[in-house]
Amino acid sequence: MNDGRLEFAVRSGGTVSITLERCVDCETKACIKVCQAQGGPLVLDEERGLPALRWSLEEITRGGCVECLGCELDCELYGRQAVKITLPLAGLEV
Amino acid sequence: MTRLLEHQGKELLRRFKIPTPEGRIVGSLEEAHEAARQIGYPLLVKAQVYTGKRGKSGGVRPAENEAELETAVREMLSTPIRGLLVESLLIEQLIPLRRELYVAVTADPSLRQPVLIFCANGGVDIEETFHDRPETVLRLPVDILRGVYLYDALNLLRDAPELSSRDRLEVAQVLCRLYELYRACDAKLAEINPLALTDNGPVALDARIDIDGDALGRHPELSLALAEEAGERHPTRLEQIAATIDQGDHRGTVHFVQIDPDLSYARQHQKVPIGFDCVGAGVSLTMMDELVPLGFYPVNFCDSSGNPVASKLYRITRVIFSQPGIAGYVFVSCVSSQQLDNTARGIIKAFKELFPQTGGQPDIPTVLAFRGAWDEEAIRLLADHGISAGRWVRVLGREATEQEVAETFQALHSAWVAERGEAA
Repeated sequence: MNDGRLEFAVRSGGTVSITLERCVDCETKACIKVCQAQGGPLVLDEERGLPALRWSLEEITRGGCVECLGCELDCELYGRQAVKITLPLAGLEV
Repeated sequence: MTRLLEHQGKELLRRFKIPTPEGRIVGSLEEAHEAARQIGYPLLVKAQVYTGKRGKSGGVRPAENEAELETAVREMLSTPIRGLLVESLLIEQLIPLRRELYVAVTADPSLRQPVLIFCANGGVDIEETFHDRPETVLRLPVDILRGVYLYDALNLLRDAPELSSRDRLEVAQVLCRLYELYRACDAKLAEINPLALTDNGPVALDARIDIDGDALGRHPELSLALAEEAGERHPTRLEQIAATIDQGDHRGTVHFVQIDPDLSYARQHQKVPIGFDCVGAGVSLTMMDELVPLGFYPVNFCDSSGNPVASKLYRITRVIFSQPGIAGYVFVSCVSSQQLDNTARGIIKAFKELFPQTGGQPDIPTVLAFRGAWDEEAIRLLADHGISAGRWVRVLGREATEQEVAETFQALHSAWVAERGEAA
């Protein structure tokens, strides 16, 4: 956690950043729901009313996060637009 | 597969102690003069392009003096060879020779083994020799666990006609070193044609080395750009960018090749250039078969299959839409077990960033056909995010055939052109 943000790197080279102050009043916790719906290692879980990581940063970067992008997209529609995923591509302005 | 240019191949040969003529790579007349001063006349000027039969196409020319060098360099740098622009030339010492041979190491799929190949009639028209006089081509399958010993190569050359004992020994050494290169570099083909017999021993006058594209990650020392196999040309900038998406991440694949990078084919044949992505190479081909007769030309091939993570779909969609001049986009999945909701998420994120002013609705005709596992979820996501409601977007489901996808795209494109008029 850093400056009120929950941030972690993903395997393909990119970052998931969650602005936690926006999550305080979020009733849906859509990011957690979609993460758990993936049937995978369940990267996100709720801890004291906020999204938290269930795995170490190393485990997530090793492939724990399946990069479905669901947390960002569902948060945008049903949450508080708190999730931003950055996926750089060297050589291309992204 | 990654094919090396001649000068790159010769650099590898030298690393494996196979002699080559002294040479310099140049890109201008000034550099050619400097190379000539260092090497001395007579010289050969050789176009560095990915094509065979350069000699017959004006891509290899002798230069006895400065005037001939200037003429050769000027003409070769300004004239395409078999349609390929010449960006660099190899200025090389002209070697006096007694005889030209052919040697190669390649994989024989029928034997599932590498095979050493020797032919006493090397040089131009080797393909014809292989076809018309197969009895002159000597082959030796190699057990990769055992490797090649000098006496194996000597045995292969035992039946080679008109080779002296000394020649036979020296050519056998070249064969062993060429096999060593083939294995060490994960090559698919290591070919020297011709291998010249000179008074100072054998010299490789040309080199064709093809590296297994899937093994490039193991060979940073080769400094080769990763890219899908794109025929006999340099990989484009976008192909090189796309190739990095799969690098070190084997969670599904995105294979991207630009078929018509500058849209020249589409323009020449009065086709509409479009971006293209399919789940499965087979459905790509059938979709092209449907689209091309209707007047559309996919300027890229893309197979995003093997259940790639959504981030790969996001990145490759950005790459596809980076192609300038495309007037439409078609995405089609084959009926497979690929988790299409993830595929859809990648596309949705890309669209939202590409078309922020419309909330992710493309402003060019776009048809997306989701057929397979989680297809209903994929279609729902596109609706929920407002993409499907786009004026120039159509989303189809599992019931749609390739023909219907193409016809839907055609109708959409016609309406788009009618509204945009000349601007389209």
